[in-house]
Amino acid sequence: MSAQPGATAPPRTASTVAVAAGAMALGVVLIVLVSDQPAASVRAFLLGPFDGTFQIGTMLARAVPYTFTGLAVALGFRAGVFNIGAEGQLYLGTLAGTAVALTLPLPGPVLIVAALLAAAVAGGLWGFVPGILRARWATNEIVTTLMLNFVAVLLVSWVVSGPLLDPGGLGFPQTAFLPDSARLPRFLPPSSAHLGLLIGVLACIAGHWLLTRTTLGYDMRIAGDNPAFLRYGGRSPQRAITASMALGGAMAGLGGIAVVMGEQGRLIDGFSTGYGFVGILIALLAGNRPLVIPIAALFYAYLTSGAAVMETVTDVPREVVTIVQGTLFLFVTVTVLARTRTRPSREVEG
Amino acid sequence: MTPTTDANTPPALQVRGVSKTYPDGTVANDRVDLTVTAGHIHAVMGENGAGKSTLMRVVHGLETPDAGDMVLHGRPFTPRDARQAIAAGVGMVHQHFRLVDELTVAENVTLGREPRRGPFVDRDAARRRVATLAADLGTDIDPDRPVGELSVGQKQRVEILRVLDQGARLIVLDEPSAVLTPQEVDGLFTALRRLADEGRTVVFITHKLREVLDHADAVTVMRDGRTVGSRAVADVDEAALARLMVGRDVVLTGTRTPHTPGEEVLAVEGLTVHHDGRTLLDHVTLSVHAGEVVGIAGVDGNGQDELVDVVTGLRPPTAGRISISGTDLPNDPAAVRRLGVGHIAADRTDRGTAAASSIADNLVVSRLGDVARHGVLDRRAVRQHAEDAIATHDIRGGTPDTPVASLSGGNAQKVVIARELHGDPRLLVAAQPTRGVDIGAIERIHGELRRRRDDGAAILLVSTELSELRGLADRLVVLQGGRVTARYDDPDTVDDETLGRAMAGEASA
Repeated sequence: MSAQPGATAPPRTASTVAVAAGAMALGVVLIVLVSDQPAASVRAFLLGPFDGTFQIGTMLARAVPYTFTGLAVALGFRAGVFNIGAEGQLYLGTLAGTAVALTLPLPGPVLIVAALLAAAVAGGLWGFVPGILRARWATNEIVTTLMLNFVAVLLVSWVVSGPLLDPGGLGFPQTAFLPDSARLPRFLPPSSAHLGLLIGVLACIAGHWLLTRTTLGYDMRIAGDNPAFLRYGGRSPQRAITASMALGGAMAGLGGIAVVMGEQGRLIDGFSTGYGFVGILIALLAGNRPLVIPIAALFYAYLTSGAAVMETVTDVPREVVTIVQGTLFLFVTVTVLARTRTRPSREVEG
Repeated sequence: MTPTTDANTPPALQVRGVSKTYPDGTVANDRVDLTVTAGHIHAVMGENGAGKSTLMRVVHGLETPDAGDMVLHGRPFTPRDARQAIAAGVGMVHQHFRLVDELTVAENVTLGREPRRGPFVDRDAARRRVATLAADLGTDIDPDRPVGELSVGQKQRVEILRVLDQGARLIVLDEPSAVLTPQEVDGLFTALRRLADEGRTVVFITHKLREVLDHADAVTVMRDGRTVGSRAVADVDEAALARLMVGRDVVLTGTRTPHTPGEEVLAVEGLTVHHDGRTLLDHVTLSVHAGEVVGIAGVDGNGQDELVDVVTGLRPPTAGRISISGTDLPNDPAAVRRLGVGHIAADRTDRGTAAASSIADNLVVSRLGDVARHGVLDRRAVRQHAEDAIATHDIRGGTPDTPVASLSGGNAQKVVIARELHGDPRLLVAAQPTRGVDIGAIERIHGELRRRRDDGAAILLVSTELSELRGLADRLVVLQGGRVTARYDDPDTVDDETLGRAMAGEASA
């Protein structure tokens, strides 16, 4: 059996905020320890992301993929499955969306919608496969989603080095730029903040609606609580689990294509800095509550932005902030797992 | 059968006044006493939830008791963890094996205590050690075979070998026969008897009367977390044991009125269920008519769960015909429910409720179609449904949004009852409908079942409580070892003694 963090009551907001604050405090201590100009470094880390529209816009753009992947993982958790394949789903969705945007001769808004749809469908398929394997044959989804990540990442790597290689790109493994008609509108110039943020927030609202207002969402929630109960009541936990994985995959795919269409303009090999894995942290931070996910994503984007600003203006390397992010991961995991296990297992024999 | 007991030999194990309450308030053990004579095979009996497993976990150091003490071979015994219990010579064979399938028998047995030659594992020594122990146990097992290739019975033997290799003098087995075929059970007890003859002491948990009478020297019966009696097996018969096990202090909740059965609702013919080479149900035939309660009597684990699962569509039968009001039973729980079947699940936490979910969500699982349109929930209808149920069934301690987990057992059970009685099912399968609930809730639930019967519902009542069956059932069917061993069309004419014998497997009537 896999862990079921989604089966527990959502974490108390207070403890989550405490965890986040604790990790930040640790970061400040580390910065003070390593920096020759501690005051300036701490200032850059904490306030840098808010230093003007460019920094704010950059931070908002950073939050986009985290919002989608956080939602992707949360939907799985709520149904009691551990989707660590958001990374692969994101890559595959992005590939499909990019291919559509590069090849279909459609007018602007239609092209955007077509590319988003293609990304959602491809990502969804990449989630559906481990979902149905888990539902039908009880295959451990942690293993299958992790494995499928490699398949997707390497597939994209090959496609952008071959079939979709940018002819004018001097051999860099990346596609050509998408046509302007396929770009998501930006705001807060000259930053790269873009419409993907709004789409992400809307997706989270839709996710909330799905979970609380629909029979499918009901099945997902109950499957995450007690699948045997759902079956006993005459409903199908298999269907709920498969749907949660497919929908999660679709969200991850949207997250990737939003980065390409809104920020980077083309699909570059290895463009994700672990968005899918950060999604796990985002989901746990948000207690798997879709409406809280954008806030958690923004917080993580703030940390990342703070690190970037600090590295450019002071002597502190961004690795210090990587430690903070790692600590955050650890803290959140510990608090969630502590809640999941009500009675510690001591059934370990000599 | 009983080895001579030297007055100077202290008991192998004495448990005195041990109590254990879990953080959630469940009193698992309440001043439990247990004395096990050295060299005996001692059975601990009781229904599910009687506290047997908790007691054994205390003995093995896996739980720390809140009160009471233990004496092992005349010395105070306070294991703080399994390691200390093992060091003191107490070995535990769990119901679910803790073996590594990929390793050989010898590797599994000596795991963590491998004989060494320099920095290396001395495989020959390990093999010899295991072969010697196997000979002690009277078992013939190849030390070099991977455990994954062994049968369930052989795996259990490997577990026992490991406990012996740890130097255990007191061996505790948690329901050792639950996973075995009848032939394997005989082999197991032959082996355990050898161990006892060699001076070791064996304690095993069971709820099978036959096993106790055939294989144990002494028995202690537990009920509701207490020890209700200890006997030498020579001094008891099956009827007395059955009564000790199931005789909850009689709760009178009203009297049964004469019934007027209508047409046949549930028809079960030649129902057989095989699983993993065991026969769980063996050609069971029974029927339930409208307006009557048919009670299934028996000690837990004699096929009741499988009967309920098949009738409710949760498990396909191996053979047999089942129909509900003339319609062949569909192979899908949802379709069975659509035929008008309600199902009070025997285990509330296992599947009767989704504990972390709200009362409202728990109430609508089987009728989501009624509170949704095109897949969209009508939240007002869901809430209204919950408020009605809370009022009608007097569910206390929560609003529609309260998680079921925070309700008391009786109120959580009312949620189950409210759901399963809604829509007036024509067949109600009620499995242990009052298990773990207080007297007040029992009265309520019994009254509700009686009213449903009088209104014409067919009720299949599965219970391990004789008093409950006597108070409700118009007809009784006794299940033992998956077979019907007795039927009583008028339960009032049968005494507890006779019923006890039927439950113990003596075909009669």
